[in-house]
Amino acid sequence: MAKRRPRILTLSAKEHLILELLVEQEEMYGLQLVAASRRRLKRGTIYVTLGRMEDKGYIESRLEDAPPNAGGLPRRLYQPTALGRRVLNAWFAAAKHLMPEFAR
Amino acid sequence: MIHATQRLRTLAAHMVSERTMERVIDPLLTDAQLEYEAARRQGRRWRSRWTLIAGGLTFLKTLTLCVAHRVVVGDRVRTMDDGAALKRTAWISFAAMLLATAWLMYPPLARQMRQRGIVLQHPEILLTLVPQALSLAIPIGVTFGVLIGMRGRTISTRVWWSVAAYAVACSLAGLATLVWLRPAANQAFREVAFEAGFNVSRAERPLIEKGLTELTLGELRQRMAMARSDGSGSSTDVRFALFYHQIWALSFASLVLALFGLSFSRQLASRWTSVLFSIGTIVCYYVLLWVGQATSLRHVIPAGSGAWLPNLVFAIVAAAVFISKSRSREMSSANGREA
Repeated sequence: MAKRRPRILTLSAKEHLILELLVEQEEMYGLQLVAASRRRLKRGTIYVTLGRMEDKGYIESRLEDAPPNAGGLPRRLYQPTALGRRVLNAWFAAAKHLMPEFAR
Repeated sequence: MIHATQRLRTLAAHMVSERTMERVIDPLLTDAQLEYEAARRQGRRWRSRWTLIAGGLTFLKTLTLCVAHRVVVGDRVRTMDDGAALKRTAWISFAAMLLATAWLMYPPLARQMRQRGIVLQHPEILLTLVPQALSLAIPIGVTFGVLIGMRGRTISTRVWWSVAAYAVACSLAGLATLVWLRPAANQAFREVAFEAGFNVSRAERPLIEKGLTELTLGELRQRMAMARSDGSGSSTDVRFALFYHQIWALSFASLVLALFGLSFSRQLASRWTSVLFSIGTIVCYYVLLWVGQATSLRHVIPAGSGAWLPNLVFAIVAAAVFISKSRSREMSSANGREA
């Protein structure tokens, strides 16, 4: 039987930005991330990206406790997982190694 | 706003998976709704209107991305299995088209061989027999491919769209064959057969008048107009009209038969059942084609209805099976929720 190769963990520019913001703020919802990114993240793609990051295991989400009289669904809040923090740290380490400007 | 959110949610639920609803669509709609409510509470009218528009556009863009991802990549499970089934469908379809083309070419070929041995003198005549056979072989191949290739499978959205796209491509190929290739090839056959039969060169050959199957669409429409205007008789008019509509109907037969095949494929567990069902489908289609033709020529039904009769019957049956399956799926999921 062929040996299974481990899955290579990837981090796109948007995923990197989201992880950075979440590590800073700990827990945010989708539009909060869009506002905090100063237009680098778009409303139309943020939720798809967050869903993909959750599938990859970089972030996890929970439903906010909605006030008793509120109608509609509760808000979904996102926070980084331990894996997500490790991937972000690994990215920074690689960046420092490859591009000395980051080391300053 | 809550009602609008519910409506958008209901729309999205028909198009994406439950997981996508939970992880992507619901958070999007919730954030948009809460943003709108916050703007209304603060008395910011223009801000609240902007959030409505931005929320709607965000929903549309996100839904488009999710649906496109689902169609192209598919749901997370079964992707490799779906790919194998689609490849199998394509190969079986191609093999069936080849066999059907050879089988349909055989009668005119055998006739020519018996009568004058033209094929030995002009082997290129074989190519002129291909389009005539191909126009029927394409829908036959698609039917066999879908019914045998997809037998016993639950059809996922990705597979459904892939087969539909393949059937549309085959329909377009059939249309091109019937509209351009067949008339030109049939006329070329007649000319080569005449030259060989009467031992004349191309320069000496007189102009050979085109028969019904040698007319292009434009020429057919002209003959139909002429038959109507000079009072050649309603029979001639019906013949031309029937042939004209049959060109279009036969072109779309691939799409109709593919959708028919998808609606029945799950019930066909064994290979031989699916082969027999495919043969039965082709025979039924041919019988309906003949019935439509005969009733049109006898002026019982219009020529267009006669030509499209087999497609209509198969499309209605496929739709009925699909609706009945959707309803039984909804009932069983409702029973599951109650339990």
